[in-house]
Amino acid sequence: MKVTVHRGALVEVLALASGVVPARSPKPVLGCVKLSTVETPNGKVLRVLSTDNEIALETTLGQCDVKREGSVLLPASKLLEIINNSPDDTVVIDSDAQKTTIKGSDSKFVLLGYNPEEFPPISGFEGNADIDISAGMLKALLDRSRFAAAKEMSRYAINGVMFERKGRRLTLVATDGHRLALAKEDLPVEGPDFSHVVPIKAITLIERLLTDPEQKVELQFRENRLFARVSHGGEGDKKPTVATAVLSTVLVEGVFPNYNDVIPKDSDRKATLKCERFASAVRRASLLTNEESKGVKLSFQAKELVLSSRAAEVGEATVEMPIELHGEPLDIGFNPQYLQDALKVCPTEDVTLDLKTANKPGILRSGHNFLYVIMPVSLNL
Amino acid sequence: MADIRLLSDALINKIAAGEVVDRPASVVKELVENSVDAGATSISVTVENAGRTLIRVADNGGGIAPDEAQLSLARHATSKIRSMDDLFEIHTMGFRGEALASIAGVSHLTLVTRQAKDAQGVRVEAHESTVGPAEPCAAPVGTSIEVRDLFYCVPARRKFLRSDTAEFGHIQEALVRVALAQSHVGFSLTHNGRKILDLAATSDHRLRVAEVVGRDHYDNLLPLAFKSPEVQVAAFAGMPALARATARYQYVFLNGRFIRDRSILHAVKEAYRGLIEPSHQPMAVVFITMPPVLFDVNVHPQKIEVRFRDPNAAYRAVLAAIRECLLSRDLTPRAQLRPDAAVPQPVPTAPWRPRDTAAETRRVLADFFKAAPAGGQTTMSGQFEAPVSPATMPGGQSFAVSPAAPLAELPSVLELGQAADGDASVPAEAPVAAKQMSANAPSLPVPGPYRFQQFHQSYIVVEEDDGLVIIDQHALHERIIYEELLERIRRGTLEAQRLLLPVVVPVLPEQADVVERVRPLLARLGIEINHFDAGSIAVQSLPTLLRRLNPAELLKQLLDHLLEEGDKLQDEHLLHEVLDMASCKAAIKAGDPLTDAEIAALLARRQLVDRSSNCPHGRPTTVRLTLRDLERQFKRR
Repeated sequence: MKVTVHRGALVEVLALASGVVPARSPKPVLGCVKLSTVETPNGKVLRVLSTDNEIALETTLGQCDVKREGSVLLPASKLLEIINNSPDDTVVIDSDAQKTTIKGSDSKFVLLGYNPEEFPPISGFEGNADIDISAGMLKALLDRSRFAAAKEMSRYAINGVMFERKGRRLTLVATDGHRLALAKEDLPVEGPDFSHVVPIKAITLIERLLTDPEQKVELQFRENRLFARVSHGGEGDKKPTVATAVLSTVLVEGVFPNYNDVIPKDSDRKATLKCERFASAVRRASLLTNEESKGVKLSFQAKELVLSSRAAEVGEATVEMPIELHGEPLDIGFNPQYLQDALKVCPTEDVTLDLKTANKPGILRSGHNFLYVIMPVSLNL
Repeated sequence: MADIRLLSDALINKIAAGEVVDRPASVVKELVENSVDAGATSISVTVENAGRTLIRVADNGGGIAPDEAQLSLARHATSKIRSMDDLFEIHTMGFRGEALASIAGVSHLTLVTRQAKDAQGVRVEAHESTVGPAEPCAAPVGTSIEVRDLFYCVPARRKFLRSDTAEFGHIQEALVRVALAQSHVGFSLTHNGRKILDLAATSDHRLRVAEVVGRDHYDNLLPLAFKSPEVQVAAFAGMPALARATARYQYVFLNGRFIRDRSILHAVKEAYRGLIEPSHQPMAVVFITMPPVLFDVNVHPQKIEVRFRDPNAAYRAVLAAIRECLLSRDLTPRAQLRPDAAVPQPVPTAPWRPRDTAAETRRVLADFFKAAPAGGQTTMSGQFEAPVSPATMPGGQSFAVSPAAPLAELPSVLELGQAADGDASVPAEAPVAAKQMSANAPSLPVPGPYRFQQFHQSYIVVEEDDGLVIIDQHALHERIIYEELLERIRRGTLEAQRLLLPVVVPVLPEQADVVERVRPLLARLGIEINHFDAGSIAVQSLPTLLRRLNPAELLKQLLDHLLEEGDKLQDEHLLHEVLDMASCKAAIKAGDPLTDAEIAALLARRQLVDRSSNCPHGRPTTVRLTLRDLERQFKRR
């Protein structure tokens, strides 16, 4: 194999690939990336593969010139460092059965690498997509849901984001057991219904592939895996760095909680608030909370909301803001971080908060497409 | 019926000997105690063949008057009590007047004694029950008693003696039990011509204890004293690191007499709860002093058991004394590079850490991982400089990783704290004093921040003034969480985050009662549980402090544990068990990478919680390697 590649583009692709490579693995080939040349409608290109046996990423490099076909398996971190530290605009990767040489204007690195046959087989995108969606829309959906996903491995089924399709509607739901975020959008066309949970690590990698709202994203659920293909829709003159990227991941097994059961239907108080003002008030009131008393008290009055907090032996804070409240006044405690997480991604200027009692969940709504259920904190205030 | 008759004196002495003298060690004990009672300052014990052929106890005490020497060997002859009333006010070690007669009954006994005022001594020999005449002889001041051929006339006894090694072990132990309490008396023990023990008289009681339990441990014995109206406790409590699998190094003395008392030993063990592993026994030598009227020693011929009029008073005093001492000390053990490298040091390595409770509580309540260094003070000098981004750190709280709390050590600061915390009853001049103090305060020497580094994502090595300490991150964090939880619970219920998705935990039918039992306790912790269906319970809320906690795991372990020994556990114990488990599960694990800010916060907290030297299970959190240790390793000393 012999290719000349644009160095900057290769760095970008290798950085993405390294996100998949496991930090430590008993199998040394998993610490490698596989470089190979492939035939595409636009000519021969360089393809970079990496996997940790659960998630696999395949990217093709637009800016390269294939001189001789072939494939090679090289240690990911060494290769990235060599390319990243090179002062040149282009580098030449030249390999035979024994070794790989990376040549720059003033340098020559020889890597021994591994036999490319040892790399686990990776299945790619096949046939038609289940969902075609713009990168911009997918990113918005992910922004409004994934922050609520469980970060620890403790409860495996909620350690991801649920993708659900019903007719034209695509709904993403994430929860960590304390709060639940739901974002939805209508797709241009109808399709078969499904519901799958995508692990959070894969979500992070998909987000890194979404660099331009105009990108075209195709999602395919097949063989208990998600395949996400990100490509540039327009055939513009500007050659993108990453021509196409296909990320595939195993899906989270187990039963995702029925989110409809979790969303209360019997709230009898509804407050309407200005999102930005509310976010600022929560942020300021949270200044006097700490790790052990993670709670801000919200006193809802007819025309006014008073946020207060107290950190033992430190002090107290009170912040007021005007609201519209339908229903009886109520005092309730919330973890301010949980409120801020959601208020950061609210798409509308006005938000509503539905409440019932101090130990029942509240529902934050922003427009029709974002909903957030949050459990209160019992405060000894 | 003429079958009943009075026994001969010889027989009576043999029977009495069975109670008092059951092995050579008891002879040594009786004779040495007599010497102590006689005011000796030097007692030498010579033994041959583990006491089978010879036991000689020679002292430099008061001696016996020539005309009383013969009488002293008669049964119930004693100088120690005179009347009934004396029996309730016993200050001497012996009092029954049985020992000498009993020993004489089962051996060939020779007594040589001289009082200082006499020109010559006397010698009395006794065989079986016949006491020979007192014959003048040359003798040093004091009394020397020679017991030969012990049990020569009691073959059954002789047969039941153990091996020489075992019997000599008992002799040594008997002597040690006396010697521990009598540091002003010198003791020596010679066996078959070899000097086994040589304890010089000393005014440093701790030295005597160290000589018995191990010279190396001198620094690791914490002297303590405690006084209540009825009971006085003085003790040398071994650092938790000295704990052993055996209870051998636990000695309890009541008014100078060794006693065996399960309840006191339990108090000792209890005081170390959470500082040593449950399978281990602390090292502790405890001296209880109380008026003789409050207990009765006359329940056991060897006086090894006593009855307290108020058993709880002694228990409470011992528990309180030792616990208070342990809480107030830095219990960090020193790293042992070679097991034999430890050499006693003149300066104790464990500095005092006086408690300033109010300030501590305040600090304990401060943020855990957010209690990070303020911008200007974050610099950790040298190559371990921490890349702390000020944006993520709410400022204002400076931290100093220091071996002790040096500020609190200064009395002026303590006074300042009290004055500031005081109410209206503080004298009028206090505020003025406080102002002056605070004016001085900034000039007090504040130790600079120390360098630290995490190794293998499990241990943190911190530089200190006189060396370095190695910290087990999991164990330390576990202890910190434990203490914080405990502190919070003492003040009320923990704040709880309610769960949107209750965690369902399967429960065995036989665990149903146990669930009911722990429910109120868990509620205090902020863990609300209720019945989900027949075979499971649902967790509805979790304390905000324990976000890392996996409630299912905790409850499973807790319920299993309770099922095994639930009925035996007191609520107090139960709470500790729950906290133990909760803090273990919530703490960072070995293998968790930590940011510098997190490490700094962890180290800062280390100074603020009680008993930070050990995790709640009793394993040490920290070992210390002093410069002196290093110098010794590198042969610089």
